[in-house]
Amino acid sequence: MRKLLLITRPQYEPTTHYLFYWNKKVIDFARKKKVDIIDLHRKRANKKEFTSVVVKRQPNLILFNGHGSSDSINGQDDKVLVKTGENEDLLKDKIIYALSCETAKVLGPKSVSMGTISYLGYDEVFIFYYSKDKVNRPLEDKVAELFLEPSNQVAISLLKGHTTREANQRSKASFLKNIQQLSTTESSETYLVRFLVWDMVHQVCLGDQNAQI
Amino acid sequence: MAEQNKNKELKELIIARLEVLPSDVSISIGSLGNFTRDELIAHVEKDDEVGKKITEVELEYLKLLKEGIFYEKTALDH
Repeated sequence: MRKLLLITRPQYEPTTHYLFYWNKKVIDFARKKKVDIIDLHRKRANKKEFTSVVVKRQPNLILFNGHGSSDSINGQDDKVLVKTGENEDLLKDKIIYALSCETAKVLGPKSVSMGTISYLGYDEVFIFYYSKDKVNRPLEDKVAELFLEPSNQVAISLLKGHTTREANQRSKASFLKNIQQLSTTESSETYLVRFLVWDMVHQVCLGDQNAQI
Repeated sequence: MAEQNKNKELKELIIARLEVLPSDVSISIGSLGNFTRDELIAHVEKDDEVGKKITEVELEYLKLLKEGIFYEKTALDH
């Protein structure tokens, strides 16, 4: 049976703009792997459409991109898609990766307790740097790449068939590679290391560590 | 008084560390927003939510450096 990926990609300000473009790489990779994709981008990243797709199509993997808080993940224009105590049951029997701030603090554990197979995300704010002169061409931004490529490794590893634990570890290893490179060379970007370390240590994998899509 | 001095010194340390950031890049701190170097420094001076978060990032980094966060085993165990 073909696997189904659901991805949310709101785009309305600089942070979501960058995540929107960098996740195109994940979508391209999923296509190569012959995974079916439902891409809820821009205005389609709303609660009504998200709920309908999840209920009807039951995706194996959901990738959230957007703002969030400890107990909720948002879509277009900062409107809530999933909130603890309201509709986290939508995540039941699925593997989740949320590139969203702090959702692994409350929403992640709560959804796992209600049947989510595995929840990968961040238990703190996700920080990244970007070059002001690359905002119109985010995929050419080498500064943002240092943060967003390691994050993409979670989804890419899962799509390759790795377990959730392995996906988490491979992503952290990718952060570490960038940290080590910036620290051991005479890079002018060593100031980024502290923020890469922050993202790396706050990325967590909750629930089943051996799950695969 | 000692506590006040400690806080003042900490703020000075954080600001000194932020002053090395270039001015042509912006930082995205999730829902807190997007900031330039000078805006970050202003938030630390005000000691508001953004200032407190960036202070937390800096202090955690210094702590993790001591633990050997650059080594694979330490990093991946976190």
